Amino acid sequence: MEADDRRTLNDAMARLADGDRSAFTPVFEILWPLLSSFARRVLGDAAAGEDVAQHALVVVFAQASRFDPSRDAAAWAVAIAANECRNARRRGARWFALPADADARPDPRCGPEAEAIERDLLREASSLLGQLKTEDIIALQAAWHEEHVDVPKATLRKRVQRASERLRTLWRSRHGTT
Amino acid sequence: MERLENRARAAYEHARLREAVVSAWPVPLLAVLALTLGGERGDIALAAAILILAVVALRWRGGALGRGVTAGLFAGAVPLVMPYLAVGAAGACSASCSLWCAWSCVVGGLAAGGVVGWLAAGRVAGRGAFLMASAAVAALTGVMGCCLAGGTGVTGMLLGVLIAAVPIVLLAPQRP
Repeated sequence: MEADDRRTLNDAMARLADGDRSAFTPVFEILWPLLSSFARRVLGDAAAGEDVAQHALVVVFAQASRFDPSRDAAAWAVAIAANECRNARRRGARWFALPADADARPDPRCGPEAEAIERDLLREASSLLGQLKTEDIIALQAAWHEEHVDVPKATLRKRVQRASERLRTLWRSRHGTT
Repeated sequence: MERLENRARAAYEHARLREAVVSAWPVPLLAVLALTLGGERGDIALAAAILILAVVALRWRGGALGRGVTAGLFAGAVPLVMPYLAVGAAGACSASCSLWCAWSCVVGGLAAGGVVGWLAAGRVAGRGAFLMASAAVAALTGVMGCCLAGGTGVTGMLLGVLIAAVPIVLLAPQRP
C-alpha cells in the first residue's frame, strides 16, 4: 500500500468516524482491494477470499464510528479481516474433523474392511468439501449438524441444494460416478 | 460491487443509529430527576421524548452537531435543577413561589447559554453547528425543569439561553 493511500485512508476514516458521509467512497475504494487481496492470500482460495473480504468490509463499516483516529486505519481494517479469515477457517476445520469423529465411533456391525472403505470415503468427501465455497460449507454444515444459521429456512434449503449439487459435480469430476 | 457498497453503507448507518440511541441514556435519568423534584408528569414526558429524538438525530448525524449533545446535556442540567432549588428557597424566604420560579429559569437559561457559548467559542471548525446543537439540547433539558414555572418560566429560560450564548460566541476569543 502506497504512503499516499495510507494517509488518505487515515484521514477519510477519521472523518467517517466523526460522521462525515462524504468520506465513505474513498474509504471503500481503498479498503476493498486491500481486504480482498489479503483474504485471498490468507485463505488461498479466490472465491472463499472474496466472500470473507465482503463480510469483513461490512464489519469494518459497521465499526467505523468507533475507529480511533490515532490508530492506523489500514492495520485496523486488516486486523478485522484477519479475524474473519480465522472464523472462516474454523468453520472449515469443523468439516475436516468429520472423518476423525467417524473413526472414533466405528459401527460394531461392520467388519474391518467395510470400516476401512467408509473411512476412505469420508476422507475423500472431506477433501472435496475443502474445495467448496465457504457459503456452501456453512450451508451443508448447518443442514447436517442441524445448526442454527441466521437465514430464512427457504434460503438455507436452496443453499444446501446448490452446495450438494456442487459437491456431487466435484465427486463426478474426480471419480466419474455418484 | 454496487451491492456490496450499499450493504456497507447500510451497516454503517445502522451502527451509527444504534450507538446514537444508546447515547441518549442520560435523558431518562434527567427526566426521573425532574419527576423526583416534583414536576408535572405529562410535561416532563413530552419534553423528554422530544429531547431523546433530538439527541438521537444529532448523534446519528455526527460531526459538530453530535459533539454539541454532551455539552448541551451538562449545561441544561442547570435550568433543570434551578426552579426546584428556587421553590425551596421561596418557602424559606416566604416569597412568591411563581416569581422565584420564573426568575430562576431565566438565571438557569443564562448560565446554560453562557456555558454552551463559551464551549462553542473555543472551536475553530463547526462553531455554528456546535452552538446550535448544544443550545437546543440545553434548552430542551431545561424545559423539563422549567415547566414547573409554566409558560413564563419556559420562555424566560429559552431567552436566557439565547441572550447569553450568542454574544459570548461572538465576543469571546478563540482558544487553541
